[in-house]
Amino acid sequence: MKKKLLTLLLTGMMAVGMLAGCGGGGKSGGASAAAGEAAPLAEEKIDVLNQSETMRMAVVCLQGYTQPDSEFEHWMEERYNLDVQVIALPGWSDATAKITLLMADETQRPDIIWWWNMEKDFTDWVNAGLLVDVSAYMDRYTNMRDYYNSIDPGILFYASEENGSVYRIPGDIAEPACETLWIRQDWLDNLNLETPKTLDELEEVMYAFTSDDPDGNGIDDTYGLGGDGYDIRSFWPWIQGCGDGLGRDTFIKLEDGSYAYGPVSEDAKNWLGRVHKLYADGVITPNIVTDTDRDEEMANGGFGVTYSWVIYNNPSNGTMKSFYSTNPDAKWVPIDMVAGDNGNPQDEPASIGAWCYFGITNVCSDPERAYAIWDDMATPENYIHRRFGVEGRDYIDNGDGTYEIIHSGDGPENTEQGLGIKLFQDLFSRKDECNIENSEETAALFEKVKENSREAYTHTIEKKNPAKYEVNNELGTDLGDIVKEYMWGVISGSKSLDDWDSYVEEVNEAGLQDILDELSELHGAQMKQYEEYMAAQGK
Amino acid sequence: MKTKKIAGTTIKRGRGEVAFSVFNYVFFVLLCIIMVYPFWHVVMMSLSSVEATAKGGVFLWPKGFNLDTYIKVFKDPSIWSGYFTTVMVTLAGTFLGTLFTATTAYPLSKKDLPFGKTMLFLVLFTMLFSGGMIPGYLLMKNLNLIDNRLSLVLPGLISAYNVIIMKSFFQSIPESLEESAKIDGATEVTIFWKIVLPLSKATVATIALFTAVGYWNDYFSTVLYINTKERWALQAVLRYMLTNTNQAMQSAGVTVAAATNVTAATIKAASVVVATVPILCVYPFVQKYFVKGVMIGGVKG
Repeated sequence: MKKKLLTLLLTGMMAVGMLAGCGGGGKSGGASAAAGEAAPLAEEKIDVLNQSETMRMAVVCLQGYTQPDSEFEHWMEERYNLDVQVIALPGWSDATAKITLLMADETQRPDIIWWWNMEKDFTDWVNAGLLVDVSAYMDRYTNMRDYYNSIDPGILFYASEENGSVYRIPGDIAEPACETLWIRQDWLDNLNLETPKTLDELEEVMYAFTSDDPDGNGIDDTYGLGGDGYDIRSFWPWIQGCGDGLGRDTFIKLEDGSYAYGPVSEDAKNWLGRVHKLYADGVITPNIVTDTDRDEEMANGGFGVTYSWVIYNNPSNGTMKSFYSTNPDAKWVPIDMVAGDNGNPQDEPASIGAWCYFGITNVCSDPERAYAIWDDMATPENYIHRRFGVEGRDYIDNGDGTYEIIHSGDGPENTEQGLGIKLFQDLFSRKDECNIENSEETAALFEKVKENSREAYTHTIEKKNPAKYEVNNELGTDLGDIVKEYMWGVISGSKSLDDWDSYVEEVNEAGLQDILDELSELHGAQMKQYEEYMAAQGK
Repeated sequence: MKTKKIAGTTIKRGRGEVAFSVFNYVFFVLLCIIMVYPFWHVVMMSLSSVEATAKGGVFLWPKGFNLDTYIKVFKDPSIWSGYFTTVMVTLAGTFLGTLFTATTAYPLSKKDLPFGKTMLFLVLFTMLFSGGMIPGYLLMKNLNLIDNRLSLVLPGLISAYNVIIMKSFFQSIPESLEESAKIDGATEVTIFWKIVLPLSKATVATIALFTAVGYWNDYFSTVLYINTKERWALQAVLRYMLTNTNQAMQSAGVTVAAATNVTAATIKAASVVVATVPILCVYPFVQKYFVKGVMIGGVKG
């Protein structure tokens, strides 16, 4: 018995010992930067390639390559004399909780933090002095700034504070428009149909795709429209085509400078009615009213029309490769947006502001050096190295402005060989010619949808500091819930358009006018600042 | 009319009794199917071809047998590091958790323990009110255990619920056994190790199973306390995969494409199987103790 007990105890102690041995412990706190005020500049521009002191750089990331000790990580460490630590966030659903904890604990705070959609937290971090103002660095190390200004000077307007300080560096910005209308050309050919030009023609094609066995397998297994579930953007062709195209699911700015709420407009009522009929007639995939994954839906197929990403046009796109491997005879093609009531087809505009940001925290031992390093990594050749790997091994430069991707970073080589392609993917991302994954056709398509979305963009509202919109932040969630419940209810058939008036009344009672008043006041002032900023930029 | 022979005599079973038995069999078989089928579906889907999973439907058997998904899943280094962390945490946590639960419950089961009621109240109090996430994090931080695997073990070592079950069982052991041991010169420690614990195998096994399952399934402690991906527990890796399948597998170097006979759906299914089967394998070994242990604690409590 004694021996058994002793064995058990030793086993337990050994396990505990091993766990303790695996511990990482806290990090040594770095020198605090001048947080909350403009960071001091070094006397001379820092030469990041010739630094004798090894600097620790703990970086938070979510997407892209997240394994430690990759080839690119070692490249960074050797090139800049760094000790890089990759802190991978635990997935989208828990990432914000983890980011909050990391920022709250000085002993665990990373040198570079990445986040998205955390406006209130961002304001708190700035007020608490946890983030470093990098505006002075931006003027000294200009690769990132110049890139953003070349895309749209407004990007840095939305990233900066009213006094000109910059605590958040845009991590990734969408192209000005990044979705287009897709159709199954092989199904059109099989049914001898023409490419639709109007919304009515599009619906006719969708009915044919649903009922006339476009894949010729003799089974009733096809749908007209499919796409991202529980995402109103899937119905963009109807939203832009009904009435004046103002029935969007957001607040909009009207031509006279006033503000309105799209979901209670007559345009919204119109497109909801049309989409509901299509859904009720079985023309739309049934699961579009549930929260599905857009890429998975696209890869699975089964429908003939969708409004989705332009990048599906790239030969290296994983989702489309997956789709074509099980549907080798299929052919998705992007087509022009169909014209609706107003005869002015528009693609959906994206935001100018970044969807995610990164910032240098006050525990970073040398914030200027950290910024300078990131700026050096933003040069075209270094960016291509980080994002696409080594020329000749991971991609081929054809010399004529076109490239062939060998290892897109999604294949087994990336991990098996520890290449580190796509490391820190969303901590500065280029959408210009450095995004060599885009084929010529894709680049042209991006340009086309951009041009074709500018008029719709004039109605888009972008908020520089959403945390300031207190009324909206207090009432907006309830308002949005009412809208979502009603819109998806109408589409799925569980609610009726006959109740439209009571729905509008409910939205009004939820405080719509108060939100519009606040919007008018704050956003109006913001737009004046925007114009001044753009004028200062010479735009 | 059905009959049943018991020790040479024959007992007639009424129609109602037979109907009741038939109903019971049908009801419990159906209940069993309802509970088992979802997992069975996932297992079969993980072994099916990408074309079959894309079409969906019911999976009673693998459609187009395919092991590629498992090969791809096991290529993910975070699965292996997750296994290491979870196995070590579960082993250490189960051993120490059971030990500390038993050593806490034993004195509390004694009527003559000074301030026993107060201490029992303090234990029970934690069942109703806990410090919460932030104090828990601050505690780990002050213990310098952030990003240390011990932070996955220590917070869950003792559960008040398990202490109550064990205390109730200890109280059911006849005091005369301990008195006779004392007469033979045994100390309290000897009595606990040599008499009480051997008599409590069923309860100890049950508590060990509860604790092991708790540790195995815990993912949120990783979210809170662990920063380095190499130290993530298996369930955190699994959750990352389930919510970011394309992303997770791509960063693990796996192409989520039907061209490689793998899709997000099959990877999700295989990941669930990989993370669930090991702990399921523990159940048969403690099954004989399990029901007995829970019943004893409940009835005597």
